[in-house]
Amino acid sequence: MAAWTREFARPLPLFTAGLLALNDHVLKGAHVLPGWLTGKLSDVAGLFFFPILLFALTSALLGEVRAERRVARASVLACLTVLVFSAMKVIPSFNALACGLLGHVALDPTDLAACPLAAASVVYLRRAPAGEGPRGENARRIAVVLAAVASLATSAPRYARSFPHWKIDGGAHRRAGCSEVTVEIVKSGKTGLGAIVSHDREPSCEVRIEAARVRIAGMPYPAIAVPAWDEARTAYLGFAFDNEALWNDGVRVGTFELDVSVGGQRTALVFPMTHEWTGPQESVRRGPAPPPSLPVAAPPEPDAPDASESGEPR
Amino acid sequence: MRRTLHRAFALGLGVSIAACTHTDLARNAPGIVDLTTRPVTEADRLPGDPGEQIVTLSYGALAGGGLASVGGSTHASYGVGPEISLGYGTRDTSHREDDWFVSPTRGVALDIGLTALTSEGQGLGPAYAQAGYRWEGIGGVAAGWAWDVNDRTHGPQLTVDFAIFYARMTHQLDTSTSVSLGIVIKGQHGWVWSR
Repeated sequence: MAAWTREFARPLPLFTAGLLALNDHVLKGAHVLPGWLTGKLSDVAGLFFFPILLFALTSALLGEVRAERRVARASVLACLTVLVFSAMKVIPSFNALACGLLGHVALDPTDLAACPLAAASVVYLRRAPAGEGPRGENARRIAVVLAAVASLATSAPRYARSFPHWKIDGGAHRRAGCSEVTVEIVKSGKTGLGAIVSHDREPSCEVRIEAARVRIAGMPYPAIAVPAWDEARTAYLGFAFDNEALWNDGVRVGTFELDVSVGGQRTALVFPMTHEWTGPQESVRRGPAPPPSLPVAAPPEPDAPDASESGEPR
Repeated sequence: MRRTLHRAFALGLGVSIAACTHTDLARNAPGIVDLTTRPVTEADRLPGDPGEQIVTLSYGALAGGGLASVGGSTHASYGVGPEISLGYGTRDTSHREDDWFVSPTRGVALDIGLTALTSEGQGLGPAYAQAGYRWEGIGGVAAGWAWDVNDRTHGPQLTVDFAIFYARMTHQLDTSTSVSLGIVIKGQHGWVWSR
């Protein structure tokens, strides 16, 4: 019977592993306990049980060590755990690497206060009684595997970076003759904005975009290009301007202007817009405000000619 | 005495931990977008991360001991004093608010300090100013000049630090040379804005 699981498959290590899993997947974000407590709880539990888990795994891989060398192996594994843990907590680049491998790991040097728990694991391994330990080898193996999974599973980040975004105010729809035109701003950044314009053309209604621009602080910024309608009767328009400078100057309002020709009659549509920002960070747990959805792509009419062939839109 | 030192250390550590704060500024807040391509997925609509810039003001104290060579004889020495630092640096990716403190990935800093209590010379020890390179917010190297007004001496100083530990060599021209190791405990406030 393999004996490598016996150090780990005992009440105290299994309790700490369970505590870690419970804390990471239930308590964090449940707002039952204070955030600082749930943050530290995982570190305390992990630093105690992880060296013991490593001890069990190295015993399985390298074989059991003699009684007099148990403390030496346990100490090496505890030091290794502390080193890696410390690097994850204080070195941003190492933290980023760990986040890529393990999921979110908070960059927080105060978590180093839990490091002495690694020494407790050495004490535990030194005092753990030799022998077969509890019965049920298979149960012990399962316990070790579950604990290993629990140790790798970390909680998701709570916050994500948030950026300002231009939004159409007061309704994004305008009636233009026999058609309704909709504007949705889908990109907004330092160098300008991008919008998707769509229309619900009726079969007998000819619609084309003659010109498009955004006007901010009195300055018109024309569309980079005015493409043809696609099959879903939408067109993407990009507008290049120094949005970062305008943002830094405190300019937060503007207009989105469309000159459309509907049934041969030209109409000017003006959509007020605002540069909005909810703040530098947004809560991921609450769920970030989802970006507005893409316009519903209406299926092309079976008998309708291709837009580019009809020459209807530009 | 030992108990007092332990308490002072714990207090200093607690204060520095509590004092590590930051303020997010709105400047340059828009993200990076490619206006030439139409977004296909929801993720295409999200701006790219431009990274961020950080100005930090750190304040705290250093306490250490080592060896001093004065007039050909070497003996044990100590030094304790305050230090204030002004730093600037950048990060390629913006921080998450989950992070307990915000530090630049790379940056420079100007330190001004005073080795107030020291075993060397008369009265207060040397004041110093040094400029340095900071790495990952956790380590750095700095070089500068130290002036001891009471002893009317001055000379170069080199400091290397990592986490809460530092090593420092100060050479007072024609007078003394000291090498010390110790602990630095600092609080920090950072002002963060987008690149």
